[in-house]
Amino acid sequence: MDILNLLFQGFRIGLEPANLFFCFVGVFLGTLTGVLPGLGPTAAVSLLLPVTFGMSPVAAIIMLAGIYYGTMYGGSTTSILVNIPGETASVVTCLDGYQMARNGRAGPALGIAAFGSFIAGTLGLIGLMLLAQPLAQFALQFGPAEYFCIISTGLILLSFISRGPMAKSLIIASFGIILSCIGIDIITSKTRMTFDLLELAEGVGLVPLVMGLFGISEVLINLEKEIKEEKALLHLKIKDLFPSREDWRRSKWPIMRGSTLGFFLGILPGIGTVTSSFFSYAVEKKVSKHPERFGQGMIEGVAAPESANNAATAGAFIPLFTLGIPVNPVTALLFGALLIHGIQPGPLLMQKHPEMFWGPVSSMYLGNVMLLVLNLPLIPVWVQILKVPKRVLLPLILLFCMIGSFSLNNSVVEVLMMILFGMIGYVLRKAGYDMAPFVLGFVLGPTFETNFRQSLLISGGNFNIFLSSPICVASLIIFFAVSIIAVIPRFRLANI
Amino acid sequence: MNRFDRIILGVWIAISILISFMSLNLGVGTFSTPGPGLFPFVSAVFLGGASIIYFAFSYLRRAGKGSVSIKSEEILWKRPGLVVLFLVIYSLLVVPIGYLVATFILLVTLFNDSPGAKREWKYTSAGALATVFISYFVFCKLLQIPLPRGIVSF
Repeated sequence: MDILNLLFQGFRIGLEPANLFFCFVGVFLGTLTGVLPGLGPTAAVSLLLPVTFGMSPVAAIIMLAGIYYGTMYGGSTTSILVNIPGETASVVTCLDGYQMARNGRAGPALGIAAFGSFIAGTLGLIGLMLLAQPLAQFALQFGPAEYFCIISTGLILLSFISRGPMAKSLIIASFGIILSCIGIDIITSKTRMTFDLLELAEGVGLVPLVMGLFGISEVLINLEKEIKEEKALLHLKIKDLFPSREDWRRSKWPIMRGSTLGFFLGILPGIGTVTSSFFSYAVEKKVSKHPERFGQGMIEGVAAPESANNAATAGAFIPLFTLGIPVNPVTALLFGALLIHGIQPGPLLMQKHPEMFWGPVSSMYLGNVMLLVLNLPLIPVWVQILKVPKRVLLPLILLFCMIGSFSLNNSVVEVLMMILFGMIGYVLRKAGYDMAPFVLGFVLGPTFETNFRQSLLISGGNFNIFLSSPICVASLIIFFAVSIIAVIPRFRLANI
Repeated sequence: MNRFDRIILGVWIAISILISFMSLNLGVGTFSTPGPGLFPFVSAVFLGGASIIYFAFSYLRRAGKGSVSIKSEEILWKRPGLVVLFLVIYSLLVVPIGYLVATFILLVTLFNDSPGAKREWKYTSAGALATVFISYFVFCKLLQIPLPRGIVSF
């Protein structure tokens, strides 16, 4: 009952005209981002983060969260119609979605993707509401040692799951942590690694870093490629958007399984939307009576991954709101946005600022409804957006990045820093480094350091503090288990 | 492991050494009273250690398998390098000459240099002009973001 009251309060916030407007803007831009190949939710959120500085904190989070879950809806449209995933979480949707379109069933594929996303998004929100409060209460018992152990385990898990070799992820996460140390030390007030540059005294900004790593570097990589966009199905007439009774019968359990899997996988660091969509596809193939038909246009192959990636977005908010620990680059940006607005994410957030939790949660319910309306009748409009040529799109993304970084402090230094991180991101991505551990290392670095130093100060330098509670022990067991699992196959490969 | 990977690992090790020395200068303190340099020092040692271990494993794997196992994509510097140069020049010019002029020049250049560009100056100039004024209206007038005025403003 208490939850219903709080949700009701949340709806009062979410239904305020300004918040409703920003929710719409967020889901609209999210769908647009999802439709446009090469522009992911991280780049879109980082591009729009400076725009939110003038808004209320609730409106800012409502809009940025709308972009995040809106992207998951939009990504399926291009996967199904033109075999080009709008964003990485929809890659697996191409396998069966595009085949369905080729078989003349584009409508049901798009329909089940939208309805599945809606059902999974709503179920994920219910899970978020039910789990967040008890977890936040539980997290109030955590001290610095527990936080240090949880963050260590989160970073090692993220590195294990990230794209490319684990060592590369650990290297890049360490580099992110080192960058986060630049600036004034909060305990001793000493400046660190600033090279006597006044601009670095407050540290490296999150926005130029993320805009560079995800916006500029993405454009630079795209600039290398010649344009080969398949638009064979763009002229198709899409009919039967509402799936038939048979489609529903085949899709209901994949949607439920995808929602459950996606939600719980979304809570874990680094797994996020991409892995959960692939995982749920693999599960559907495993449980299906006709696994050989997957890849030839099975509606289950669209329903499950599309549900999973939407449920995962809701799951990813749990560690952010309850522990103050982001699990992927987008939630890292939301973490940064909350800090910029003077709100500390963590177990006290729901007590001190209940509107910051219940407002965005209620707006996500509303946003899911908006997305259903935006995605079904307006599919032909979104498809037309694919016709925007890259020679126009890429310069516009660069321009938005330049304006966004300049507007932070009206300073060219931020712009130059963003360009520098763009170059770093470009080179590192070409070398096979995943940018997610970099951003999370950078965002979690200050919390990681503060908790490490506080633990040592409390214990008088005794490292046993990191074994002093069941949470610490459990985290460290996971930490070492993941490390061993990661290292053993490499020993075998190296014939040691 | 190819040459590009080795160069990057070399850069990581160099950064690790540099940060380690800087952290030692800051003062690492003791475990009971950690100094401001302790955490960067630990992170830098971890960075260097992970780079060396990765290099060693890749070397051993190559020795065991007799083949190069890790491929990095080839870097095609020309167009991205040029665009970065345009962006740097733009950031240095935007304050003295103003948003309108600097952005117009940047967009005309980018529209003509992007993949698949048709280099039709009349159209790209018109497109750039329209984009400049729309973006100026949206960001400066609607969102109240102060953009550099420079030599032309209204």
